[in-house]
Formats: sequence, structure tokens, C-alpha cells
Amino acid sequence: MGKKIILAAMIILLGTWFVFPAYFTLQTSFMTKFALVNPVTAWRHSSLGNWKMMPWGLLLGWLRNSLIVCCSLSILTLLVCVAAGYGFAKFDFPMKDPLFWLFLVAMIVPGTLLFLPRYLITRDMKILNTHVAMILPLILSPSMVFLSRQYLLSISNELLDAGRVDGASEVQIFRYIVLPLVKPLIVLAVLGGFSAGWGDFMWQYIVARNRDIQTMTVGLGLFMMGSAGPTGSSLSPEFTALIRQGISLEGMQAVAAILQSAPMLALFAFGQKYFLQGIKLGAPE
Amino acid sequence: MSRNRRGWWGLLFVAPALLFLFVYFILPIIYSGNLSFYKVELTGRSWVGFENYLALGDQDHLSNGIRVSAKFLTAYLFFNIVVAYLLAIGMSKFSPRFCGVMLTYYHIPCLISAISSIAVWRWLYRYPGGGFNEVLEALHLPTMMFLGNPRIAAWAICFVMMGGMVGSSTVLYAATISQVNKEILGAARLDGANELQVIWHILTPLTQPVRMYILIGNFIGAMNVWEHPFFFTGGGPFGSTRTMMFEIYYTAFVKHRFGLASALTMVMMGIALVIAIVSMRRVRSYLG
Repeated sequence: MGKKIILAAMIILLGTWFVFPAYFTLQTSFMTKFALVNPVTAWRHSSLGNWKMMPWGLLLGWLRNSLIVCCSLSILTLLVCVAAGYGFAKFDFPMKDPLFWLFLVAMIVPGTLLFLPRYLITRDMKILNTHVAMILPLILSPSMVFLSRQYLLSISNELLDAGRVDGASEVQIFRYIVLPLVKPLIVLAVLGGFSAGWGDFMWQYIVARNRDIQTMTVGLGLFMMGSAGPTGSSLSPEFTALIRQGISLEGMQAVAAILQSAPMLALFAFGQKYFLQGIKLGAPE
Repeated sequence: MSRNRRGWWGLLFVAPALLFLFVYFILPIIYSGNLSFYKVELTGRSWVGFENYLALGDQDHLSNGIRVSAKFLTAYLFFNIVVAYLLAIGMSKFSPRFCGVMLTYYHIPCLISAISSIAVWRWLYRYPGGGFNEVLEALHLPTMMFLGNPRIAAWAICFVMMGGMVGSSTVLYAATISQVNKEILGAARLDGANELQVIWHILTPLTQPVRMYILIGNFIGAMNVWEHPFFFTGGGPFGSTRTMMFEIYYTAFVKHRFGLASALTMVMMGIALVIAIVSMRRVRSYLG
């Protein structure tokens, strides 16, 4: 019994060590003066100062850009990846196996490694500094294609053939028979597309130097670093002004960190059971 | 409708994904393969043959990148293969309720965006006067430059990343361990096997597929590290946190040597492809 209590204590302590920074962020966002004090009693000095000081207008602009990028990604990921999974799961066509093998390789080899040639191709296409450039490379998620194929294999062929006998076209079958049967897969694709857009910093940072189209991730990321980074992407003047006034930067960075994490936390809470299904499908038996 | 004609529909469903695969995976490889034989300047490009590849050896970019990425890989493997496994075993000793609460607890840091957690850890690591150094001072211990010391910086960054990863690996292990037949474990204990023997001879072989899955993901993940060094140290001090990805970024966007950076990209693609093909058989085996 004693051993078990020690084991439980160890598990809880290690977890706390990892969770502590999240708690500390939340606390710091309510502190107008930054200091590492006793994390339990510090709440006595809390105030909403940092939250009021945030340049909300600027943030709304970033949020708008983020929503454009992430929502388009959701829809396009759904269309492109689930359709491809359906093609691989339910049809026989020439070169099917080698093509699927290509997707598998792309699933393991990280596409992000190719950011340099991707950047140069985007530059040659003359679409740098646009939302389109931020969206395009993230649409195809090979693991989503793989997941969709696994999922759609379970749909019975008789059902599809029944649709064909009734004279439905292949697109109609996909739209009206297949998709309604795989709601969890749709949720996964939509959430996956959204979080791919929201979580990506590097590509959006490289491609979008123009402040007007910066997304939440890039804008807040640069602010949280309190600098523009080595390649001189621009930190917003609103923030530069605040820094000059000598505001406790940490408090506002904490607010920014919370704003940046909140959507993913909310999405996870909403889609938890689908995420777990995804883990089960994607993980080996 | 003939079987053959229906097949073409399949290709049509796959076509958009294929187009993206071509433009954003295959074309970039061809593009950087081509560019790696050129010296790129503002005025234009000139053919230099294998010079860029030879320069990779001379200028330490490749070896430094591999050395730093290997550090990150070590941390990945230690935390995701060893620590996460032990945690999952530890949790399995308790009621499913406690286990579930703990899994959620460990999963919280995995949900915080990388950039947010970096901001906080930068305050904690700051020198002088960061959170950790305040604690060290209060205890009358010497203060440390966590991010300024080339021998410590990479490990300090690894540690932050692992807080956000251990949770998800633990969930994977815990899911498999919970499916292990309790009677097998009971029978082994009845035969006099002690706890370590049960773990080593029964649980470890049974969780092997999950371990392979995590292992492949970790190899790729370690090659992909960029964001954390970028924000923590900008690759410094003395290049001690410039991972493979960071070396590409650094040669291309800081030093503006696109030809050299393309050669780096090609070498790293080569390494990643070898890993992919070696692990492909594993992937195939659970394809079903």
C-alpha cells in the first residue's frame, strides 16, 4: 500500500512539473508586475490590467486572417483527402498500388523539410504574401488520406452498388451515401485542417512578411518573442509602442499565449471522442 | 457500368490529392535537386557541379545539424520510449478512474501551442533573473545560463519540448496496456515471475507495435525541430541548437545561399527517405 502511494505521488509530481508552466501563464496574465512569487498566494495581487491593455483591434485583424486560412484549410482538407481515401478504398484503377505507396512515403517523410523549394516555387508562382500561399501546401495531409482509406474500407460495397443500380452518379454516391455514413471522419478532417493551419508557424512566417495578412499564430508569436526575429518580419507598431511605455511585457505575453492556445483547447474539448477514434485508427493494433 | 469505367472514377477521386502531392512534394524535390548544382546570386545563377555538396563537408553545416538533431532524437527516445512507457505501466496499477484523470493531466501540455509554452519557459530560463535562477539564488546555489551555455542549451530546449509530448505517447502506451489480457499477467505472477520480469518478458513484447510507431514518428519529429530553437536561441550559442531543419533555414534565409541550402535539403530528404523505406514494412504490416 505504501509503495502505491509513493508511486501515485511520483506520477502526480512529474505531471505537475509539466503542467506548471500552463498554470503559471494563466496566473501571469493577471499580474501587472512580473515576478515569480508563491504561485498559490500570488492571486491576491491579480487584476485585469493586461487584458484591458491588449490592442484588441489589431488582434481582431489577425483573427480574421487566421479564420480565413484555417477555415479554407478545413474545407479543402476534407474535400481533397477524404475523396482520395475513398478512391483508394473503393476503386481499382491502373497504378493504384504504386500511387498509394507514394502517399505512404509522403506520410513518413515530413513535407516541412521541403520548405525551401516550396518557398521558391511559391515565389515563382508570384503569390508570396497572400492567403493562398499560406493555405496551398497544407491542404494535402497524407496521413489524412491514409486514415480516410482505412475508415472507408469498412463501408459495404453492396450499399454503393445499390446506389449505382438506382442510377446515382459516382459523385452523388460519394456525397449522399458515403459522407453521411462517416461523420467522425468528417469531423477529424475538418479539425485536422483547422489545427494544421492554426499550429503552423514556420511556413506562414516565411511566406507572409506583410503585416496586413499575418495570422494570429505569427503575429502573437512574434509579439511573445518581443522581437522581429533574424529575418526581420515585422513586429506591429502597436506592440512596439507598448514596449516603449514600459508595460510589464510578460503579463501581456501571457495573455497572448492564452489567446493563442484557447482555440485548440476548445477544439479538443469539442472533438475529444473523435480524436481518440483517430488515435485508435492511426495507431497499430 | 463496366468495372473498367468505374476504375477511372477512382482515379478522378484521387486526382486532386495527386495534384497537390506533385506540386508540394515531388516538384520541390526536383526543384531543389536541380538548384543544388547552382550557385545562386541576385544577378542570376551559375552552374557549379557538385561544389555545394563538397562545401557541406567543409563548412560543418551538415555535421553540426546532424549532431544537434541527434541530441534532440536522444531526448525524444528517452522520454517517449522509456519515460512514457514507465508512466503508462505505473498508471495501469491504479483504478481506471485515476488512470484516466492522470492521462488527461499529462495531456494538457500537449494541447498548449508550442509558441505559448516557449514564451513561458523563456521567462523561467532567463539569465540573470529568470524563474529558475531566482529559485537557485534563494537556495544559495550558483545561478546558471540555461540558454547561453552551448553545452546545456540544446538539452534545456529538449526538456521543454518533451513536456508537450510525453502525454500523447503515454496515452498510446496506456491504450495498449489496458488491452493486455489480465489472465496472462496473473498466470505469470502465479508462476513466480516478479514485477520486473512481467514488464520485461510480457508487457514489453506486447507493446512492441506501439513502440515502433512512436519510434518512426520520433525519428521524423527530431529531423523537423525548428520552432523551438528559433524562438529560444535563434540557433545559438555557437550553433549549438541549429538542428538539421534550422541549418537549411539558416543557410537559405540568413546567409542567402540558396544553392548550398538546396544541397542540404537533398541530403536530409535522402536520410528521411531511407528511414521511410526501412519503416515502410512496419507500416505495411498494420495496414490491414
